[in-house]
Amino acid sequence: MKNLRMKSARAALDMSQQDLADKVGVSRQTINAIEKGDYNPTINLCLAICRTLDKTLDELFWEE
Amino acid sequence: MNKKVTIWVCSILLVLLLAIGIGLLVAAEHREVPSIRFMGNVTVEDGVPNPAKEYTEFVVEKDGKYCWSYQWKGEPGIITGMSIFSPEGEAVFSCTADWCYAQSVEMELKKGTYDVEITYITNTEAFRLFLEEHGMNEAGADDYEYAANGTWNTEYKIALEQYMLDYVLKISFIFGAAIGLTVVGIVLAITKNGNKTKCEYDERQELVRGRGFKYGFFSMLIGNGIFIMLKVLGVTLFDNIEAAMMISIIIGVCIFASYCIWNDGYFALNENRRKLYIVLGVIGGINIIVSIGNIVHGSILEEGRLTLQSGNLFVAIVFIVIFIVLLLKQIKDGKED
Repeated sequence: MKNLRMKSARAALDMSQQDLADKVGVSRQTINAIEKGDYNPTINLCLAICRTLDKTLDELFWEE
Repeated sequence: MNKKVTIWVCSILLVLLLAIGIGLLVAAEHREVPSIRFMGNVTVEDGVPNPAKEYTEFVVEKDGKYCWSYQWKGEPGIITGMSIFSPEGEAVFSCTADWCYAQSVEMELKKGTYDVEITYITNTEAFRLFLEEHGMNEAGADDYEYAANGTWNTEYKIALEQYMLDYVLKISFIFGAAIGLTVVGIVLAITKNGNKTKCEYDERQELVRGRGFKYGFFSMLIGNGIFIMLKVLGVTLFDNIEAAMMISIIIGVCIFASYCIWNDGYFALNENRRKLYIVLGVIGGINIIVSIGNIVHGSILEEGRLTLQSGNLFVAIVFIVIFIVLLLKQIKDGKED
């Protein structure tokens, strides 16, 4: 399932996938895979992404 | 380990390896070889040698690939024909000369006692007969000036040299590989980022690499299983086990690399891709050139068996596969972007 909330949160901060990847210490392809729903990140990576995008876990990763 | 220490360690290792390699080659050059010396005494009266032939023996202590090394320095006037017979009575080597210092081509010899026959040739007819009997070229048989009378005391020295090319190739292979590793170490030390030598992969990449290792490992097992099954069923794809093993390893490595490249798990986060492409290109290019040379010279196969030199070909195949997958991946990513 695509993670459109994460994509829009990133876009709202005017960040590219590479920018976000550099900030959380992963590859651009990993961010791309998370947004496309091809990869389920660990809780540590979820937290790092939330902190960078200034969002909570629920806002980005909780299923609606 | 910091950059300077890495370079120093690699350099010292390289010098040590070179010294050991040269030492081994020098030791091989001066090693003892089985040899015999034989004094031939012949008297010629009115063109008739007495005795006409003399015999001695040469013991080959173990099966192997050898070259006969032979020399004698006789006075001009007669020609010596030398033949060596296997324990089964087959002529394995023949030559003629009034004096010589030469080495035969390499040949497979079995353990046993070989008869050495020395024939004294004192006229053209006898010379032609000897050449004919031993299937040798008769060109120049008429040009020699034979002495009608005289006595000749000639020392014949025959030695059995282990076929050196195999030995040299083995040493070259071992030290070539070791030196190659050292050079790679130096290249890594020069190209690494600061003091970071360890590749860093993110969690998704670690997962991809783990799967890649698993698929590569099982491909290797399946490959080996198929080769064993085929052999049991009587279908022999390769004459030797090394070829089957190398092909299994190549399959495993190619599958691991292809899977990782395709799923973005091949390049580490801190890796400079351009430098890595250059290193891959140089190592792959060298192996491709060397393997083309080996194919042209026909040294990949020997009597239907893969030789040590085929290793370059297999490494070249891995690099070609990696290059093709990288190219396809670039095309795929380009389309997605």
